[in-house]
Amino acid sequence: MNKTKPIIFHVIWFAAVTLLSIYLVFNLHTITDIKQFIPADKEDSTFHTLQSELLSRSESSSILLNIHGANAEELVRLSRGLRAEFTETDSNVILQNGEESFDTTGIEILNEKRFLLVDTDWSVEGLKQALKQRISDLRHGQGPVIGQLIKSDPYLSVKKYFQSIERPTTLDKQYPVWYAHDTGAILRVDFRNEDVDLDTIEQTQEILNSIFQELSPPESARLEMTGPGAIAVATREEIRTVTQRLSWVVPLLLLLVFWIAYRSVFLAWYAGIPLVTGALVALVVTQVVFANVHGVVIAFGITMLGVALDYPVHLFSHKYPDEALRTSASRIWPVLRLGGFSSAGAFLVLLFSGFEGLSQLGVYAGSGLITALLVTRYFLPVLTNMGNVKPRLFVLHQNMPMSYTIIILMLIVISVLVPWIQRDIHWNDSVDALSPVSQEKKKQDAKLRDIIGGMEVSDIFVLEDADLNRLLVSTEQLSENLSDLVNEGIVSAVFPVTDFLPSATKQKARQKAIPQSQELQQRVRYSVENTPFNKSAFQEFIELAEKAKQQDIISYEEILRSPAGPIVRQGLIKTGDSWLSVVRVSGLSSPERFTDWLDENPNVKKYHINIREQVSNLFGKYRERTLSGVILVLIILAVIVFVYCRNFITSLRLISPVFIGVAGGLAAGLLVGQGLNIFHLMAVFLVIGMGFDYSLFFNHGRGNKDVFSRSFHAISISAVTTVTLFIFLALSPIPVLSAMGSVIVAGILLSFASAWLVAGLD
Amino acid sequence: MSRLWFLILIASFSCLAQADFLDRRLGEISAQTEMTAEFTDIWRAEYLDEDVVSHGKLYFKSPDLLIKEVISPEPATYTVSGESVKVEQGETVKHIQLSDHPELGMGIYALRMLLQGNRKGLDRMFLYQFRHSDNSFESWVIELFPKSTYSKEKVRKIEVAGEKGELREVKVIYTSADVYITRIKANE
Repeated sequence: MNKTKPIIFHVIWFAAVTLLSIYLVFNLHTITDIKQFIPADKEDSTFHTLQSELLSRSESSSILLNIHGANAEELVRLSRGLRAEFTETDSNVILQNGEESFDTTGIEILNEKRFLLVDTDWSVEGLKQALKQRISDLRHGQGPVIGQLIKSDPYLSVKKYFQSIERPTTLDKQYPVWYAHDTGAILRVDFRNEDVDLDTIEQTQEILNSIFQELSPPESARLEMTGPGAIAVATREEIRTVTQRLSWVVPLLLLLVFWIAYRSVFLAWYAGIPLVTGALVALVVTQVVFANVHGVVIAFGITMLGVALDYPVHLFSHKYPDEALRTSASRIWPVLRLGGFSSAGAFLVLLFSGFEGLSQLGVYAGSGLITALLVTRYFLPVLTNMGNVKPRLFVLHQNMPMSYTIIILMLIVISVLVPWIQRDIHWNDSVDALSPVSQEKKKQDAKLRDIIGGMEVSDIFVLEDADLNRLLVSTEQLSENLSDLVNEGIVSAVFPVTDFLPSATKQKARQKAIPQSQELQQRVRYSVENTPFNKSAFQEFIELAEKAKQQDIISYEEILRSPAGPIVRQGLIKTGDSWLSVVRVSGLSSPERFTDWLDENPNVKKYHINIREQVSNLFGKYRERTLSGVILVLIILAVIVFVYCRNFITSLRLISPVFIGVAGGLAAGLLVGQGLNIFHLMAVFLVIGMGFDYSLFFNHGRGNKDVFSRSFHAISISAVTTVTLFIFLALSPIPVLSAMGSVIVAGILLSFASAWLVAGLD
Repeated sequence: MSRLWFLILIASFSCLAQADFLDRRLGEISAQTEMTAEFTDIWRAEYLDEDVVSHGKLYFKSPDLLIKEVISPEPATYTVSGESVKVEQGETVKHIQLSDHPELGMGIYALRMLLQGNRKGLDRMFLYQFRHSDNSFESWVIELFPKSTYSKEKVRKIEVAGEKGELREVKVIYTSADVYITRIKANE
């Protein structure tokens, strides 16, 4: 080989990779929003909107803090100190500990229209009752606060209006901060911006920890953090740990394996070229076809492209001494071509799955595999001729030893039996099964949330209507029905948006109920008799009531500018031409009684959404489609093989290790997990690709000891590196990673063993 | 000209004398690190034909614990500690931050600072005038005027009256003309 040629081709390769990278830097549009990956059926549209709204709200980034391990006074001191110090550091983050006051900016509109916002008893009896209560307030030192307000509103309507914001809690009220006897001090962090990245959350946690230390806490005192934001950061940290571990394990492993297998570490560089080129081209193709690439596709797609590392390995292992690499490539090309194009073709079929996430994955894997295959065949041989590198070939029997055969057969039987043994837990689409959070952490989070009166995250009621007033009227009716839940002690409170923005119908009814000026004057006169109030005390109130009879009702836009705005925004969501009203509950005492109550009240149940259940249903749908995708890929692969071989036995010999690998991988997933989920199925795609590759090359060496030995050599390198890599994932505490890891490790091992076994059969 | 100098001299002496009297009174008041007294609270407003009155017990322990226990007509307890007031009324317990309610906080700050003998605190929050209300120099009145703009919008002045080293009355006069009076009778 001309010595300058490889250098030129290296330059060409670098130039191509650089161009692709530049294209991606300027054009790659990565989306991380999970709702764009999950199947979007029409019937789910309300839930999708709701989910995206709920996910983007600050609720999803909140952090709950728990300070414990010291006496109450000390914990209260730490809580107050933490809030005082932290509030000065970052104005974009709100740290609540129960001490904060209510922001009254924009309260004027509520004062002006107070009589339309709450129910008022305008009768003489109602007035008398209100005045009696106000005298009691004055006797209890509230004069400085309510003294002037009484004259214009003896009912203190605005105060009553804002009482709806207060949530029932199980806090120990002896202390001025959120404190519970058996839990300690509780604080909550919310971010003013709705889109908060994990770096910001992590920085906030670091600041909180450092302030806590500066407060000189007793040695036994601890600051613990939970809540969606803290959990997300902890998960990312865990993934980062696994990735960092892999970032030095993978290169070291490859160098070690290449040194042992080929007596050359430089070959590992060439082995990476088809994979890197394939991954870049796949990204470009997916971006061009779909105008965006989902983050999930990049993560899983690269895993599926793992088989591309096998192509150069086959080439290197099959090269004879003194043979040009181009000749070796040409010799094994029919097998490589069958393996590569069949897998790519099967993956490309996912394009028609009708589910964008899976379609993208199919295009990514298909285009990546074809590129890697072509680079191996036509480009790698011009880059290197391997010099004097000689593979360290192992001498092995083509026929598997009997003891191995028995073990493999037993494993195959077990793989087939496991789904029957674990028949009760085949599928698990529960969000909890995918969550990296321990049960203990989840319980702690729920407990803290419950103590400070946090609303139930999972159980909500949702009404939808194109007409806002009609929607608010329905919400008011629902709210009335739901009050039974509170009366029966099943929940501690219900939070309909209509507590803050009553329907126009209700506001008008309240307006109508306000007595005429003269009539009200008379009623006030009767009411103040035998009280310390003088007869002209409530002239301002009478004038305001008269004005309220004439004024416009309060609108959605007006309420948004008032202190009730944030609450209304959470409970009322505009979606295109329609409105959604979300009614939440807090303090759910018994989920069973709640379910029973809903069953007894079908008119209410129809509005109930269990977020957890809905998300699980979505994952279920996603999983079903992925399963269809897996089955489709297997069928297409079998058809391609049959068309190519035109012989049933040969086809069976080639395809059976793939099926066995898939069965073994899923059986492992079933054995170590709590049922299979979408991520187990995603991992199966890699098992299919690699299993088919092993099967092809083991069969390629049938009847020829040397070729078999070279095939075995290449397949062993692939299996060892893949299994070692995925063992790290299988041992991860993150369910998604461990699901993938366990399926791939078991699937690859069983594909490898069964391909060897089948290849030795006559 | 000499007359002017004489007036300036008199005024300076008067200021020094005021400061000296205030320091002396504060010293006498704060000599008691613990105090129990009976109180009568009066709310007086133009919309009321008669005062609204309540009675109870007052307890102070240095440095900043102040408990006001309303006994009649309806029982309630107010515990002021630091910046927070705990209000217990029947089953209901709630906490109020003094800084959020200057109209409520000013009277409490003044009372507590006097009981603590906290001259620096008084200087920080109020402008004041000290005078003796009789010739014996035993009865005295301090008029406190809030400094902060927000507090000035709510509270016109606070008059604290006492006799020798004992507080007798704290009167908070609001800009609305409402008046909140706390009369104190120390237990022997």
